[in-house]
Amino acid sequence: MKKPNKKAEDNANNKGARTEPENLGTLTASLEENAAAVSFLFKDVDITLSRRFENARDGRVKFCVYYSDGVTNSAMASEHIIEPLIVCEGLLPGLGLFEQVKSRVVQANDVKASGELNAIISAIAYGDTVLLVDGFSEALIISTKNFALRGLSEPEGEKVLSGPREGFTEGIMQNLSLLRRRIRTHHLKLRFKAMGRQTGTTVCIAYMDNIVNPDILKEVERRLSAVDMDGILDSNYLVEHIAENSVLGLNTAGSTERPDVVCSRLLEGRVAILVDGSPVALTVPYLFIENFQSNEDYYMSPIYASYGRLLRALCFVLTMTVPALFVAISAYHHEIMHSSLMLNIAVGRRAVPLPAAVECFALLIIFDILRETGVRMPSYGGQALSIVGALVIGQSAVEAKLAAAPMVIIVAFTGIAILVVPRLYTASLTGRYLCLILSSTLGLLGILAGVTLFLIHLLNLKSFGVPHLTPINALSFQEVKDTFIRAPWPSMLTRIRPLTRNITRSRQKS
Amino acid sequence: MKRILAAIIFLAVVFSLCGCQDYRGLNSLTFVAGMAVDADEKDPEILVVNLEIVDTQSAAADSPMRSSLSEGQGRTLTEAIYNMNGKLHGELYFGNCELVVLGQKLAAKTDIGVLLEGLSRNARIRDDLVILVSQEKTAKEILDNPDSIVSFFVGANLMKKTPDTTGAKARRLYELGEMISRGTTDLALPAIAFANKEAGELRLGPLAIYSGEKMAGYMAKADMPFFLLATEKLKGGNYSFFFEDDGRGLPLYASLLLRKSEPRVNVTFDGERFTFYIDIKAEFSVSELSPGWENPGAPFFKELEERVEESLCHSVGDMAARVHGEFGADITGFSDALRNRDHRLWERVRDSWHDYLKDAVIKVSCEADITDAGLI
Repeated sequence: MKKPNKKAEDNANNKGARTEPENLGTLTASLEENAAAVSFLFKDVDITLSRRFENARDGRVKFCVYYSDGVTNSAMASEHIIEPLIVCEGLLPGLGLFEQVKSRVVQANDVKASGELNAIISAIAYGDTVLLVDGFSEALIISTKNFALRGLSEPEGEKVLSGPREGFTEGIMQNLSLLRRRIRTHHLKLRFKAMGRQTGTTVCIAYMDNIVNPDILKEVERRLSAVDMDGILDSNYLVEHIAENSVLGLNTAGSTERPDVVCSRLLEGRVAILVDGSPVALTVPYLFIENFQSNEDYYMSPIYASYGRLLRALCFVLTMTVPALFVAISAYHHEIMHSSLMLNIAVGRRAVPLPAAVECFALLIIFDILRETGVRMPSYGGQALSIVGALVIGQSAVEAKLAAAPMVIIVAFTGIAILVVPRLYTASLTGRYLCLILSSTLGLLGILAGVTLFLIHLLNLKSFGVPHLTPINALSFQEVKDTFIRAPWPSMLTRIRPLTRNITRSRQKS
Repeated sequence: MKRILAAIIFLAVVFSLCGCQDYRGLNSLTFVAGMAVDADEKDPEILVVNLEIVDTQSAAADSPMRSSLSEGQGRTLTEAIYNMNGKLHGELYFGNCELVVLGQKLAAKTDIGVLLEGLSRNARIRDDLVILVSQEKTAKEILDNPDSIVSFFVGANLMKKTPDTTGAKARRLYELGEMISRGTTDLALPAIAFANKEAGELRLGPLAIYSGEKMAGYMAKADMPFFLLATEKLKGGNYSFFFEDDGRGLPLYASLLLRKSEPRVNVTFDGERFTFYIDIKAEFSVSELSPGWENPGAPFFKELEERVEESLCHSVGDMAARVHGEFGADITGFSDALRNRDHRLWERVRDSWHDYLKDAVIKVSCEADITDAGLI
């Protein structure tokens, strides 16, 4: 067997030692050399198959195909590529052979020519069939992808009572088809980008070119270009690279598994980023108010939606502050409580050995352990866990006088309330512990300090150059209609200004 | 660097206001629900203070909370309270102290200002507690019921939430302090007594009337509704009128429900004598009439209103005259009215106000409006 070209060999041998993307070189005019180079690169990759064959009419016309078993439609490869090339009449060696094969023989809808080994390797790995033709320094890359993908299903974490139930899957093309089906205009731009030195993951930037703010789009592209890592296996890999960092865990990039949500955000001027292999699409910029919005809000009555949003906002505030308030009041500011409430709490706490703050920390951590266990354990164990959690940790702890009943109620309420706003889970946790630490040492003034710090952080936070508190930081009549309340669709006439320069969403009919 | 410095300064300032040095666990507190203050039998200069302590240690989930009394003696309130500290197992907590009962002997002998000073200057005692005068022999008897927390019961059940004619408005510590500081000469505090001593049932008694700094006596029970009508904005209550048969064909009695009333007090001075005016506007609905008046017309109600006005003017005037004459006390707010109207004159007559009060003329006018005949 002939050795592959020198550059490809060097690159293959030094694999892993480089930080720059590998450049494997180009093909030569010799089928033998090219086949040897590709075979060498796919050495020990048993799912990569090759087939060498000749035209039945003229044995001088030689071909070699490469494809990966399991990700390629092998029936298509044999019936629409190999068979026509073998049986085709009139194929003659010479300069026109390559173009003749491309335009008249191969029966596929997506055929590209490339002489770059990088592109060829990537195509084979991604399910395409590569056809090498003797005498040509280019190969045909024929789309024959056929992945095993799960079917469309409703995302577990974003279930709705009414509205579309489709969710993204791990296949980027399938996901893009879900977007394309909803937005049937040439203004929807879908630009691919290969990211990850080793994985070469396809990342798609989607936006509406007539709505998006060009500055934001430029910023997204700049940040994506700056990402340099060996593999992108999920969209969250990108979030931590491109989004602003929040020490309190506030999201500055949105994520969703629902195509309807991505479409609605595209129509507001946001940019979506889809990553192959991940069902989670990113949308940027991400505003604080989005934490309280749900796609279902737009499919149901505005009154119900507004009530739901206010409830979510209230739960966020409560889950962050209620344990801290309880500790501050029961340890420092007893005067605030009504006498009967105060005495009931005092009776509950009379034999508890731990101070209120320590008791609160302990119970919150136990609750988080239970929650984490519930998430990680098999679903059939969930019921048993909830019984153990409720009975053993709750009732038994109270009976054994290790915890006071009011504190168990506070912690349970806090634990439930945090689930109402899942997108703010991290922020709620950090905010809650920050307030709790401050209230344990400084009382109500501590909570005030904690909330002030939280607000200062929130006011300073930006998402892709847009203030995170937009549009709450500069309220205008139109923009307030989709914040903590959701106005009826006919009255929501404009988009949010910093996200787009094309602010007209709908027009009022006279 | 600036941020770190700002954070350090912020935390230092906050820590000086409230920090873990102020931590007080609920299980280390002894909750005071109420306070009874009496004068010592042998030495009236000594105060006997009984604190009603909530028993949180033995409280069970399915039974009401109990209480106990803890007694201390001293020449001042603070001294008496500190003298009992050794008998208690936790730090005394007055944040839930809702009631102070003054013994009637103490009220008659000790200046109310002295007692209020001891209560209001103490930062641990909340300033919205209610002050009552015991009609029993001592104030201690009122709170001495271990099966319940008397102070909370009184606060929740006996103190009126909406002002009506069934009882006097509770006087809170801050109100009394404010009244004294603005120069109100005489006070009236609600009294409390047993309705059934064996059963421990309590009721609000008539007003304890202070003339100057000391209690002078109790208002007659029959005068209470008219005193309230003359001094408070009422939103409920009942007034029953019994008329003589004068041949005009009016009912012999009428019970009217008070919907709302508003008094206005005014004062004039002719250089020698004060004239006090009490103007009352009241709105009634008919609750009960003597038989024979199933379907009366508008002239009837006009006539009835006139008779009600006449009766009310008479009763209020009698009440005011009795209070002024019997106790020499100005509890109907005449001094406040004069101070608001003519502060210089008030400053001039302030020291001899009670002398002027004796010679004053009281004029009462009443406007009764029956807005509901009680018929569909």
